[in-house]
Amino acid sequence: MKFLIIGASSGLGRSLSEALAASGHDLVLVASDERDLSVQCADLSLRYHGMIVPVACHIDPRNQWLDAFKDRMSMMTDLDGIFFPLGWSSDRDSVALDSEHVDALVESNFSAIVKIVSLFLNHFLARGRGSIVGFGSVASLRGRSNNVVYAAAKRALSSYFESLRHALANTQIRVQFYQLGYVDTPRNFGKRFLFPQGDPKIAAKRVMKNLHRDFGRVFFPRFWFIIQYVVRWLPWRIFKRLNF
Amino acid sequence: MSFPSTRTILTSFDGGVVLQASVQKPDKYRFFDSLGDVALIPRGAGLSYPAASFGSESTSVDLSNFNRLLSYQDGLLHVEAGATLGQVYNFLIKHGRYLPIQPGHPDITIGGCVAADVHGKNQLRDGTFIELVEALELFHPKHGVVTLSRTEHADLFYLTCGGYGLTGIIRTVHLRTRELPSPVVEIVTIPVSSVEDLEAVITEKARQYDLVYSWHDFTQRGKGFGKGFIKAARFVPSSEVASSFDQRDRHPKRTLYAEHRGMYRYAFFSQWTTRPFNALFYQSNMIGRSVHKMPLYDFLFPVHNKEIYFKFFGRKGFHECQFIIPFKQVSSWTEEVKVYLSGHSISVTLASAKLFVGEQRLLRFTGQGICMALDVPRSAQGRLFVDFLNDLATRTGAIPNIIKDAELSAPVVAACYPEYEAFRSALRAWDPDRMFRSHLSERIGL
Ligand SMILES: Cc1cc2nc3c(=O)[nH]c(=O)nc-3n(C[C@H](O)[C@H](O)[C@H](O)COP(=O)(O)OP(=O)(O)OC[C@H]3O[C@@H](n4cnc5c(N)ncnc54)[C@H](O)[C@@H]3O)c2cc1C
Repeated sequence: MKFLIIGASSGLGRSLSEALAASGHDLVLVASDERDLSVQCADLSLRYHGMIVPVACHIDPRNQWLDAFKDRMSMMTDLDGIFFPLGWSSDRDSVALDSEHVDALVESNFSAIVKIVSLFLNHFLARGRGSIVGFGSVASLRGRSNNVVYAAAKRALSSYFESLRHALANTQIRVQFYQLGYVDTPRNFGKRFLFPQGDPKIAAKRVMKNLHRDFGRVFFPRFWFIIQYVVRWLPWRIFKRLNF
Repeated sequence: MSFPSTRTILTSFDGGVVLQASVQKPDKYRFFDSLGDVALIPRGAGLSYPAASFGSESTSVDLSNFNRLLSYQDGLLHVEAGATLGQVYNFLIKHGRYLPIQPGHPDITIGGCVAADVHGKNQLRDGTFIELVEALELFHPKHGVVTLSRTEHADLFYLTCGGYGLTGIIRTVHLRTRELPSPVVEIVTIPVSSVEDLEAVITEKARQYDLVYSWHDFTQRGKGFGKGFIKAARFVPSSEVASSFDQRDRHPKRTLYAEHRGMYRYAFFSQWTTRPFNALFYQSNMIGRSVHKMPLYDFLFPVHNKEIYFKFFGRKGFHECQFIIPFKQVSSWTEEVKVYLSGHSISVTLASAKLFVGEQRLLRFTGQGICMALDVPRSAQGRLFVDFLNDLATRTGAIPNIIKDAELSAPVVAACYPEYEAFRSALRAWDPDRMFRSHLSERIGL
């Protein structure tokens, strides 16, 4: 099978590309930095048998990334699935933010994904099958004073995937959404969290195992399924005092 | 995107140094564009016995995410320096190749092997790790990326191989691999009655066999002091390897961390337990003495899955010292050690020897003689013993191993390594600001 991974060179995307390549799949890996991408592709091509194709693309609202991306993707007529393990957060993300940051956060965490799905949807419909896998964040469970725009964009993404699943309910196209808790990625290196971090390699294995299941939305690590209720139902009087 | 830096407690593998250090663990090449003027030190798996890859004043750059295999052609393997020996082993064995020089644990990284110019199990025949390095890519914030080899920036190449991470960050390495006669070795165990007898036997065996080391019991007193055995292995011809031999990837998960070594609060090794432990170890090897076969992996990495040995030293840890003792001095060195130990209750949990040849240059651990490694539990007595050994080294012309002995002082290194000053000044010429520093480099006055 052939899969497209957007955000393949780091964290969960890297683990996912490793797990899929190890299972012999062909991959198209998209990441922003050509250097990271070329070593990632070289490694997977050397160790496994599938065809690994790099596509460097920097998703940034200030440049015309979509046109260039469309050009590169015009040949990809045989994709079996797309994974979107990408996201970007900023330490400056708060309730008042400059427009450049707002655009960048919304583009990387939400609108770029919608644009890419829209690009491939007809392709999947024509084939009558496929997988579209998105990754959200537990940050979007309830709005806080940190990661404000990031959380909002991830919540929008979650809603978009609900709609997508609804729209494709009568097809063989699987739409899955993983709500990620803390995951042990370079972005989180050295940070202390209230709950343990999940291992991206385990996450990748789970995503692969679930690939043909029809479930809509799940949490990783799983215990977030319980914690979500605590976060959502915590009385406002207590929640407003929390600084996290 | 900025790369998070964290202050954390790092521990040397021998437990001797525990300190707060800054660490960054990047996974993108963009990281190298962002490095400013801060003091740095590269970090591989952090499995060096001394604090070679961290320091209180430096930011350790953990390179474990730069662990990809990049190309393989005509026996040359190009890898990122954070790749581990285990990863490389798993790849090469499928191509019928291997690295003839490998230190004893699969979690150790290629960068760590180059920077400490490590040795394997037959230094006489194979030399040290530098022999496997065709070329490497070095990064220094002030110089950018430089390709080093024996023909390109040769001086810097020699300074970097065995340069303890002080010349910059090794990003990638081109490794010379060797054809693997077979993935299985046949092992013989040859008893030796004392260290004095070792030289003749081990020299002969190192010529006949592919991999050779010895083990000795230094807890015995009197005549039995240093009795032990030599383990010698040779490759079994492929035609004799059963087709059912398991070629699956070995060791997919990391098993050894310096920070976990001290997980048990108390030590098992003491003056009461070490003697019976060694006696038992000796006997078990004598009983299983008949020629037997073993996967190469298990012979190359004898400690893998036996990491408990290091945990038995408890939280306090241990001292490891390793010396290349000139052939002419082996008897007197052994005699002095024997006399010292007979007067002190010190538990030598390990004494292991290999045969070394070659010319000693800069700060690389090479030379002519018997290479002897000793482990003792960390204690005031143990420390005095180490000081005694280092003093003995300066008197006998023995060379101490900088990447093993965490108590080595600048005067001892300067006395034992004739090119110490040459190394120092070459390092300053390349990096006048001395951007790359570690606890180790400060201790030995670099
Ligand atoms: C169980 C065990 C068995 C061992 N057996 C042997 C043996 O048989 N023979 C032997 O010679 N040694 C042996 N060693 C020692 C070990 O091989 C060395 O200490 C080695 O350097 C450890 O590599 P590391 O990846 O853990 O690197 P670290 O300990 O993290 O670093 C070691 C040194 O290499 C530098 N370094 C690491 N990566 C880079 C890089 N990318 N660029 C530049 N510099 C870098 C660091 O700055 C530091 O100075 C053994 C150690 C253990 C724990």
